[in-house]
Amino acid sequence: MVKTKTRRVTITGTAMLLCLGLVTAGSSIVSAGAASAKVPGVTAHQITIGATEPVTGIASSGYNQVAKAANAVFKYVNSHGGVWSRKIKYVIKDDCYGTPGFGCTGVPSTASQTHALLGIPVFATVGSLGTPTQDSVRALLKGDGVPQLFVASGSRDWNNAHVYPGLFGWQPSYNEESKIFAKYIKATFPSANVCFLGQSDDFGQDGLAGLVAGGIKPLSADLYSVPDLVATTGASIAPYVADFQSKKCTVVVMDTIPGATDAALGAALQLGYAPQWVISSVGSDPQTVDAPFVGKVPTDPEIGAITFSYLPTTTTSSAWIPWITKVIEADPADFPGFTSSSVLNGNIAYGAAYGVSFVEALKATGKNLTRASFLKTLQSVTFSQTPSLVPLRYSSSNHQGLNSGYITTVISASATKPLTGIVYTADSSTDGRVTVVKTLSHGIPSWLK
Amino acid sequence: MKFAGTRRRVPIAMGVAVVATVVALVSTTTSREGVALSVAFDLAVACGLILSLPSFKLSHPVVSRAALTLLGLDVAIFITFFLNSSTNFNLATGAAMSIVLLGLSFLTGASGQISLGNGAFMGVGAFAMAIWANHHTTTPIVATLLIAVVCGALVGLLLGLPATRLRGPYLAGMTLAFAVAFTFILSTFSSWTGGDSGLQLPTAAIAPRWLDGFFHAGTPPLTTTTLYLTDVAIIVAGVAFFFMANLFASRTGRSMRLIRDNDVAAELVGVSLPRTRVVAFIVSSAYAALGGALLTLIDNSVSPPTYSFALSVTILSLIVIGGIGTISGALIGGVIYAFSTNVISWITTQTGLNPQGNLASQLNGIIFGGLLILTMLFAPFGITGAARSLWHRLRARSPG
Repeated sequence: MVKTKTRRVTITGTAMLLCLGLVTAGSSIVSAGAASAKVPGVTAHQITIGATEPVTGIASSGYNQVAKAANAVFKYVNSHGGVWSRKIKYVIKDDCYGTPGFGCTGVPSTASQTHALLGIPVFATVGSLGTPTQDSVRALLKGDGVPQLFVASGSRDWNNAHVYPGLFGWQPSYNEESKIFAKYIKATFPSANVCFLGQSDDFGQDGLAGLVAGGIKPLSADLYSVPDLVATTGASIAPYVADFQSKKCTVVVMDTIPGATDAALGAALQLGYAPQWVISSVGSDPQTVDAPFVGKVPTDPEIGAITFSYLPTTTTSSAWIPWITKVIEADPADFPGFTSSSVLNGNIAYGAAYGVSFVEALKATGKNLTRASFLKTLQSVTFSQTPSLVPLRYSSSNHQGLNSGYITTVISASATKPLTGIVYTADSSTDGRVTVVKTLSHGIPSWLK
Repeated sequence: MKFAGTRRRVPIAMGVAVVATVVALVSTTTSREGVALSVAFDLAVACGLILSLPSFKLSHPVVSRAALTLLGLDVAIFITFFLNSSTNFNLATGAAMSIVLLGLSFLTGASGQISLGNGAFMGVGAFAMAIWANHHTTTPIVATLLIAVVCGALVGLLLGLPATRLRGPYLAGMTLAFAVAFTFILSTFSSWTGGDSGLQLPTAAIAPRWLDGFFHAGTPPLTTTTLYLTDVAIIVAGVAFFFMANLFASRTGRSMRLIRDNDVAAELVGVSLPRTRVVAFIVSSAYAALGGALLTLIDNSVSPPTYSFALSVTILSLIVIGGIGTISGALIGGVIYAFSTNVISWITTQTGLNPQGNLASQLNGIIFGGLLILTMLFAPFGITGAARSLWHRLRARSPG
């Protein structure tokens, strides 16, 4: 009897609970439709944007500072009244570069973290990092009408305005960078044996294509896999370097992330191999690359390497260097210990630069901010006062972003300097044409100082 | 007593169903929503009624399990309508992972074999799904999922055949080798697998138009699409759980448990050891592949780093924490997997830890490791075992 009574009570209780849920359901669904036509992520006093970044995990070294640097710019702008009286709130979600399990907090994926951002909601994603990671959420963001701005990657995937009207790149493509490298190598090392090591995705493939289009035919062109790099803690790179040595390559071009750059430089040290390194801007930041060698070798093996920059280096007199330094110093929460005498690294400069680009685009859009008005502004205005060497310019058919920069060389464990200071440009077409840029950026806008 | 109880239950259930129908029709704005919600609710009441009949459970175990599955699906889908997109997405991920966990739970719990390679089997399904979808864009999703399952089963068969001669640590070693080699295999066949970039599905899944009837105009497509994918994942998981429950209770399931407990005795009573072990391995691989394929569908893409060896270790940890050899253990493990990121993020925020600090960036390992140690010490049969033990103790104390 007791059991029967218990069951009856359970059934009735469950039924009542479900009834309650049903009533809530009705009201919830009704209220869901009551949402107004407000712009998601935008209020009169705030604009909320987001990004997925490798805050932890295999790609976090160095890259974990990128979004924080952009946020430091937003905090600085907020402390000076915001843009059109709106403060910028930047929500950074850790996607672990889509590689859970290697020192990641939790088991996040780019898709799940992007869903979390969309649930806030955000006006746009700005500066989310990585080619495969951002490729994987293009359809998701497009489906929800969320702009995917200034993707931190040089893939050409971001320049597809017809299919993804809300998707915008920012930095020069790997392909363009390689064409400029090719011009430099042909002029400086005309009889060199050139070898190539790249990442097994758009990074390496587009870079190699650019090199070939620029007239360089590598004796050996290898593509490494990131999971293999991680699984072997860098050892998977050594055979490629040994191969380059055996083929007597005197110039090695690398489209590598910093971890792979370190592995290649380390392997070459062990083999007693010293080619002329030509390293993509993505994997050459001196501070990040030097870190594993500190205390182990007397001299940073990257010194003397050739690299590329589309931002002013810390050794130039650009007004942006002290400005970014000031902004970063004003954010001790995210950059503890950073002082006016600290040297900016490439990752911080990168984050600050796209942060400024976003702020300028917001400013140019005006007070009546909508996603459509912002994208229209982005495609029609030339942003000539951003930290990049040349103005940032998009059009309705070109969403790649920057396409120019100069050749630099690593001069110490913390700095690079321009070789000639001549800024070159290329495009992502199949020809290897590289031309000199005459119109450069103007400097800091007065309202941002 | 049974008949007296039944006589009472029927009018109660009918009354509840009538009330629910009226409330659903009154509280919703369109007749379509009302009808759909009341049908869903009434179905739940009917399932509950069937399940409350003990005699029915004994005489029709398969139908009873089907009713239980329907009830679970009904309630789960009902709940998804009230959750935001982010939570629904996590639920979908959890549903896919629970299928993988169920496969491993079956292999380890029922047949006593240890696999460290289920993350790689999951990857087989995930990539099979993406590769097929990219080469045959018109194939329906269900068919593509089934193809992925077949691929997983075939790879399982391939590895399962030598596994018939291996036991314990040797079998674990073989599956470990497969898990470690898997990302290398993917990079070797990069023209098929997309290299480090992985693959994206050619067309993103979009919610069917009839689902829009539940929402008002202007609802973001993300809401309906995520709900649709979540419910698809839940339904697939429900079907997978239903089949597994029957397999557990079947002659094959009993043979496997006998092999696990005493393989000599099993052989003596005529159970074929190699055949039964291979079947267990194939089922486990197929389930892992189904989970992986579902994840590809949910994420709309697949990336090689996801299916590294670390995932296999995570899967094994989850099943130990949830409870090896139990269906509910797989479900618990799936939920833990899906929401662990949120929990860890919450802990990091609440404690003010620097997310990039040594402690915060290792919280995943610390929490999973700690849970594993606690499970081994205090609940060797996982959360499910601990809950069962607690339930039996409470029942023993109750006077009835």
